[in-house]
Amino acid sequence: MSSSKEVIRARKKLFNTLCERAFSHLSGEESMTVSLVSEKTLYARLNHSKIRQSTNVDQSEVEIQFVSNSRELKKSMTLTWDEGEDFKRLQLLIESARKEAEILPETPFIVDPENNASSDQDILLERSNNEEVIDQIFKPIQGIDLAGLYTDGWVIRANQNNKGQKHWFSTESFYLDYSIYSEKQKAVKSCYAGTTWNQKDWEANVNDSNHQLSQMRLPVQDVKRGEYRTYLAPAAVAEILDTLNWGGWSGSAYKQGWSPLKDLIEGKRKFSDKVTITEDFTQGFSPKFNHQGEVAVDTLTVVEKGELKNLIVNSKTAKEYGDLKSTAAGGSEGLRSLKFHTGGLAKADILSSLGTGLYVSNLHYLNYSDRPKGRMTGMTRFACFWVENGEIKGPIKDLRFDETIYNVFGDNLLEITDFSEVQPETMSYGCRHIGGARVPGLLVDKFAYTL
Amino acid sequence: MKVNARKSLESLNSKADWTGIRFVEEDSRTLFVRDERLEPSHQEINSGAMVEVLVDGQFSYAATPDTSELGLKRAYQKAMGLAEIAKSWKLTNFTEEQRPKATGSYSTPKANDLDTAGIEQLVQNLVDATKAMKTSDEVMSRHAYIMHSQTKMRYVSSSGSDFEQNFTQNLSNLSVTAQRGGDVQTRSNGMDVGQAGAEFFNREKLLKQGTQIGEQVLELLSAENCPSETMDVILAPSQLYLQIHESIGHPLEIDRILGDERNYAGWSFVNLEDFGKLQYGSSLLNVTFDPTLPFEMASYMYDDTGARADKQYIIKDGQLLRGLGSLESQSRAKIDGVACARATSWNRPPLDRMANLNIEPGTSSLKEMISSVERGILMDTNKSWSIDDYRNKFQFGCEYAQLIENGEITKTVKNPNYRGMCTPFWNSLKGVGNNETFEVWGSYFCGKAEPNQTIRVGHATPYCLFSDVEVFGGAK
Ligand SMILES: [Zn+2]
Repeated sequence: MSSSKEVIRARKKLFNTLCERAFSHLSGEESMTVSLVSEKTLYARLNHSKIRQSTNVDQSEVEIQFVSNSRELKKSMTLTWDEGEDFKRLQLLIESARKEAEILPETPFIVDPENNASSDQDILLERSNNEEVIDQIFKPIQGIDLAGLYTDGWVIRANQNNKGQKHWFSTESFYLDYSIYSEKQKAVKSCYAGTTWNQKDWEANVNDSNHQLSQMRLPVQDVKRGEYRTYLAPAAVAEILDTLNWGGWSGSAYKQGWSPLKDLIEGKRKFSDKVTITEDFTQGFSPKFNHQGEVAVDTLTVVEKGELKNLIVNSKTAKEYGDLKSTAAGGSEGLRSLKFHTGGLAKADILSSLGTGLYVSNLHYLNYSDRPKGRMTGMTRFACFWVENGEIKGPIKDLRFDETIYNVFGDNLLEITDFSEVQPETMSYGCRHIGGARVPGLLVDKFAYTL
Repeated sequence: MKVNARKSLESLNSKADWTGIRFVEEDSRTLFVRDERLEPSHQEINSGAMVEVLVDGQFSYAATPDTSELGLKRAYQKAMGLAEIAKSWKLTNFTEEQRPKATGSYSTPKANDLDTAGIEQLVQNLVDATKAMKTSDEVMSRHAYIMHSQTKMRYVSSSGSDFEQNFTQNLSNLSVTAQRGGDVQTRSNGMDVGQAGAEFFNREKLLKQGTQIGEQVLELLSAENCPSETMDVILAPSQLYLQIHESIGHPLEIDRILGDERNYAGWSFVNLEDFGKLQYGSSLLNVTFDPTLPFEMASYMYDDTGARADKQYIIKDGQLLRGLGSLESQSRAKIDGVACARATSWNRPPLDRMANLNIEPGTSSLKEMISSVERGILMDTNKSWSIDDYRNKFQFGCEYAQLIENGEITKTVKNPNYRGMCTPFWNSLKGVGNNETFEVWGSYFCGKAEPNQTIRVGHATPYCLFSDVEVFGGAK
């Protein structure tokens, strides 16, 4: 069996060859960017501390961004890693793009490929068999009711264009995203993530969750709808930031009228001066290059002391709107490596500073209830407690909140924790996603629960 | 498909108790016109196979893009390797009964394929649709977006299954956003979806919708905010389809009830003991799993395990009868289900998905329902959705609403929202529209499962009237 390093080296070589051959067949006025998304992943889906489904996935896709005759087209196809087969498919794909470029109308604001810079980064281990970990997972969870997903493997993100620009990024990691349950269906959520499985760390992680679960066995507290002082743990804050990432920081979303942060962008509203948010690629969650191989700066200030400093903008949007500057953003103009800066609230002081109110570990299923005004709704989930005079009284039944972001990050924000936690990207729609965010906890006054 | 499926299966010389291969090839096109100009068009051609083995009572899977005999052999070995390790920790004990023999073929009924000339014409139609939305200088952006997917699946198994299904599925989303003062409003066609050929993107329909939403977005800018009070609500199918999806579909998925989804999409307030007993809604509520309506999104002959799909009552006269559970879930839960094991593509295993889930038409005309309301509201077109992980406490927002006072529609209001609890809400159902109010909706993008999968679902429903719903407006 080949190690991940060998397989990835072989794929790099073949990707280079495919690109070279494809670029050599372009005519003088045509240009093209080729992007690669590739992975080998083991997924083991767990329920009741047993395996429900296990799947090995080997998948790779290339996308061409083809420009000719003032037309731009995107086409993508599956790679099999057989050079003959893949080159044949790629030629057909380019040929169909060429034909369609003749019949389709002109594309506005095309950004022609350029050779800005190249990069090559492999963050790899020498593992050949990630299945062996499966046995290790189960030892400390016997007698515990656990559900979740073990994900392990490597991913590649790469692109090249016919002007000679080349970017390559690969990384190898695992995560066990899980929750454990009491007899009365109360739950605690956690995630054990890393690059090398360490049995002691895994056992400690489970013990920690189990300890939290014991607090969920306290009597359930009946909390009526209303406004409560609330501690939002990092995972809950990350959900709010995820929702804001849906158009909130995007230059084009703002220009087209669907930014939930319109009033912040226009300076009509402000967040608390405690709030600073940056896009920080030095955190290593994802590559600095975007789908066109444009490279972002290491750190970009998005919000500084409550005021918006920069929108997230790709070069196409910048070309369309003269007053926006490109930040080498991706297609959806979201934050790819968010860092919410910490404050002064120590972990040991969270409950006493909260006093009486709600401790919310996780939020779930957020959506806008009035998007242009930055108002959102969602549910509490997993380990959420009613706290009285700094003491946990017991878990709550799930509550619905409905609040504007200007209350949560603004007028009602009391304190930010002096620590933050990495929220690894665990999405796998289509393929395994990469990325992450580093987020602290927030103490908020008068957080509105409506159901 | 260019593969010789049966020969590929035989050449595996499988040592498993049962073996299947599911080949999937999908060709998807996306066109997006913004403000009368075509953005870069996109086409994705995606293909591969999932090899499934049953060893010692457990299915294990390996997905490969390489559908050559050698590629499938490698995937088979991967799946067998996984089965070996997983068997000490298996949750379930399945047999070949969960993979019945299935043969035959299904194709979406369609008149036209989307060829090059068709694309050229369609782009022009989308350009003209956004032109029709330009009703005022207050209009900020105009979008016309379509997706057109052709999916071929071929399935062979060691128990003699050999079937093929060819789906052509479509989405069209028109939307217009306008601004006056600090207020921004968006009006859309709510995303039309369905199975059909290129004829789905009918020019007259696109232009009519473009004109209508262009007018209504201005109407919204002039409208009052939706009042906050408890009142009767009539939901149009363009909203009700998602209410069905979130508060009937998901909680009735048997794998959720069994806890498979607890760490991601969530659990369910419904228990296995509730089937055959729970009064889910009022006696007017009749819900079917119906894979037979030809143009609805998730009409098919077999699910992805080879189970034959047919129409079944899920809720009859308000009473919960059966779950949305595949043969695997049925064997675990020991309750009746439907043929609903589906996978998003070749790279994911199948699990319980809701397919077409419909409310059967009743007897009221829309006019009768409106005239029966003293004070209420008619809400149209979903804008926002949120529900808890047990599927109890929901909140929805709509784009457009009209107040009903003393049996008549009196004025348009903006930013309408409502919230409630699942079974009390369905038990407050007091009017179900007749056939003339029945519309077919659905979604391209229902998300579920770890690893994550999106699936295409259909929901057809008439207009329905609910009493005493908590209604409220936008931010103050
Ligand atoms: Zn869904």
